[in-house]
Amino acid sequence: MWTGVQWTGTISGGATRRWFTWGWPASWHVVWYLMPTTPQVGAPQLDWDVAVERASNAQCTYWITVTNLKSTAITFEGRFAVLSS
Amino acid sequence: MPAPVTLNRARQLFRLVNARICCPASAPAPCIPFHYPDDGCWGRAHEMCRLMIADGADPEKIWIFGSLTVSSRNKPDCNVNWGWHVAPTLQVQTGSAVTTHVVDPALFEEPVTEAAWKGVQGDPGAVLIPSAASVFYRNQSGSISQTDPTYAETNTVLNTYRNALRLRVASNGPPPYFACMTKPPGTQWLGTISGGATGRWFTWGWPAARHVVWTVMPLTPCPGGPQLSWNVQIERASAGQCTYWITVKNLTADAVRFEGRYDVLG
Repeated sequence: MWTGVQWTGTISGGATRRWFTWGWPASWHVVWYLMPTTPQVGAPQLDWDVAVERASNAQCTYWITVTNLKSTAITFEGRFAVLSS
Repeated sequence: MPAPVTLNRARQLFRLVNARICCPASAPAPCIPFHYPDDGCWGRAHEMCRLMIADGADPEKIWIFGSLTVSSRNKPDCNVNWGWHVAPTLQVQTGSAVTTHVVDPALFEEPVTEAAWKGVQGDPGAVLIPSAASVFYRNQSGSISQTDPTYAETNTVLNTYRNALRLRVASNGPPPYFACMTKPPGTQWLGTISGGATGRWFTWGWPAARHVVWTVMPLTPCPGGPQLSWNVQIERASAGQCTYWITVKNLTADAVRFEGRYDVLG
């Protein structure tokens, strides 16, 4: 297994935005998660959902929808882990 | 002979044409019906050449004549029989050598050598005949050779086999067909979900002490937007075991086949 940061994003307070990342081998087992880099204590900051598109026989595109649960902008890392390849 | 390209450039051109793959159920023009392997290769090849030429490349074609048999998971009976087949080629520079590579997304996931291309077609005695990209259709002897500079015939062929693909999907569901597949490691189940539907699957008897994550992966290509999302719920069935409930949502209007995947962490 290995992990990485695919992108660093910023999302406005209360907003929902979607990012995509393409060209991933469809045979890999990949999970996606977020980590805020803007500390704000006391409550959750971010929620996310993952959807996937089979772009070709060999490759896929991941679509990550991020919701900012707070009223101010948050910067975060879009992280992945390849569980098997 | 055309100027050679690097293998990376050949792969880029492969991706360029493969990006035109049809979403099987709707198969809207100008998509290329790579998932209808039964017939129509000459239309696919001519369209692929058009796209590559428009991108500045200089493709040619390779024709194969023989008693050809190809395994395909995109046909319900898993086998395709041809008397001939055609695909675009590129001259690829690898070190000091230049080799002909075939661009054929109906059979491969990247450019391959002519030997590899011939090798999957089940007839060691098959005859390979190269031609210019401009040749739209020919027979083995060359007594019949047709061009299609306006791509009118090409579009007719592509339309015919887009329609054939739609009809197949309507009667057999979308490709790939599970009877032609083996379940890969880390795949708990192979599923099909209708367009716009939400379905739930469960899998029981998992040791509760294990850390397990669940994902889904569409098997039916349809470029342009997300196809599937999913949600996981958990039931502690006993002191030692649990049941996972995976809810899959099809975000598209078309049926999608998919793998339900798991990974045990740690």
